[in-house]
Amino acid sequence: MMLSEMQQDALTEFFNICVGQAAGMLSEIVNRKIKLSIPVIDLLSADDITASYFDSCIGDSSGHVMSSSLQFGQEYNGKAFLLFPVDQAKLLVNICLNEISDNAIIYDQQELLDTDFDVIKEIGNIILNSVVGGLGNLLVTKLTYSLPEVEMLFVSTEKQADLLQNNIYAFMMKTMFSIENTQFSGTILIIFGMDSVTRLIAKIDDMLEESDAFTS
Amino acid sequence: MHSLLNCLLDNLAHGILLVDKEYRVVLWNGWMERVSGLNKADVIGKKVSVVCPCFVELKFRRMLMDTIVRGQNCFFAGILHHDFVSPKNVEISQEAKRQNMQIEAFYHQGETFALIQINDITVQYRRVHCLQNMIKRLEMDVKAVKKAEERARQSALYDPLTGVCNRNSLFERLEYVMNQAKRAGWLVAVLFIDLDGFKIINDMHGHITGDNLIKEVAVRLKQTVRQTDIVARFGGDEFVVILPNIYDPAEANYVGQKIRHSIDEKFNLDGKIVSITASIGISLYPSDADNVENLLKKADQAMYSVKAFGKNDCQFASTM
Repeated sequence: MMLSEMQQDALTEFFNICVGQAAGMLSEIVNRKIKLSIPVIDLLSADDITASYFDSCIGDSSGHVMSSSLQFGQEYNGKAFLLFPVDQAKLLVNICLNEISDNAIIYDQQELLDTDFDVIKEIGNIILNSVVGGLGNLLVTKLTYSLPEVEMLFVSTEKQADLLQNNIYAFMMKTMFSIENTQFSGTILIIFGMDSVTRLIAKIDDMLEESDAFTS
Repeated sequence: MHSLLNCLLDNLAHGILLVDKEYRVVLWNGWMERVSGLNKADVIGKKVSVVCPCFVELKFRRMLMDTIVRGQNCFFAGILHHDFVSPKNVEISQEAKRQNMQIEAFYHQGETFALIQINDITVQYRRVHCLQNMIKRLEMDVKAVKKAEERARQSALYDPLTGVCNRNSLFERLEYVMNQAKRAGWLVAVLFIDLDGFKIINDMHGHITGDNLIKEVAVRLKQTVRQTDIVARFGGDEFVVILPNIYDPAEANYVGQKIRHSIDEKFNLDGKIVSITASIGISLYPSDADNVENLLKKADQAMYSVKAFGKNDCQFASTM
């Protein structure tokens, strides 16, 4: 399944609004000015997501990524992930906890403590609630949400195969976080069944048609 | 059964709070009573923001609303927000309390509620803090050990005054380059350098000036030879330069003369102008000797021969 340029633009605009709202909420929660860049969106099938593609999205972190995820269900179901390379996750935590300037030792290492997992859980929760909630609004449907989960994933080829079985599609959104003068990257991955993707794209097409009717 | 469940709820080790869609408290368990000091009877039916002041803040109120209206679940980390239910004992510092809060949608008989669970993570937080400090201390210890190792390595291999190789590492390196030369078919030249009249300078200007002169000579030697050549202090005012891969003995003589001329230049040692010359003996591997001791001995003998015939010159061991 391929997205046309118009569909791609419409989805980018839509997800950008969600991500923007998430940034606003995050800023409020952590008391720091946080910006999230306009996400670069790809719609991928399980076959498209090769190990090297995944690596290019999450950076070289020796296969380890920090994942905050939540499941959503009802009419549309799937799972949303916020993925960070481990070093970037640590950097984000340290900035949120004001530990960046005087704690080069901890910054250097990639060890994540229990409390760091909690911070990532909260950040992931805010961003994913915003993005998945936005999808629910767009599709005018009520979704149910699981509680967020945080884990350290080792993204092996087998693990990717588990995540992305047949007839599964994934929206992959790469975005840059910017907190004060520090930038780091994260990837939002939303995994859907084929039906849900088809309906989402149909909804986007309806919106584009309405927009054409309005302007022509 | 009902009373058993209530008893169970009251004895849980974390706070349970149920809020209806009007944001009024429906359930307030024993943990909440114990920590906040507010009795169930006084709390039930009241607005949650009245009994749990964190919900006065817009950010938490909005999340609670998202849970009730949209069914979204939320998690708040104690490490970022400190606490959500303030302890009744005001003597306990706010800084010391850490709680995680989780809000999730709860549906019962067609009604929507927000189930709020609060976990005290103060002990865990302190443990993490201790762990962090321990990691920092370990890192610092490892750094100190590495520094000490580096210092020990430096003093084992390098001359503390000049920073060039010491006698021990000279022997090791010479053996190594001789083995390499044997395989590659190269020549190795050993230049034994002794300063002429160093004792007089030491006596005339003092030991500090003498030491400074030794340091400056080492600098000039390093500047005169290639980076791949080896400069070592043999002891006192004696230096050895190894040229590890040459093809023609004339190259060794060329380098020897260059060294001689560079030392011949006047030294300015903290305003004191000092002149000195060098006598240099040269031995070659494999023609003069095939082991380290004899190769150095031959170069040393050649150097003494220079001294005997007027100093300030270079001489090959093979011409003695």
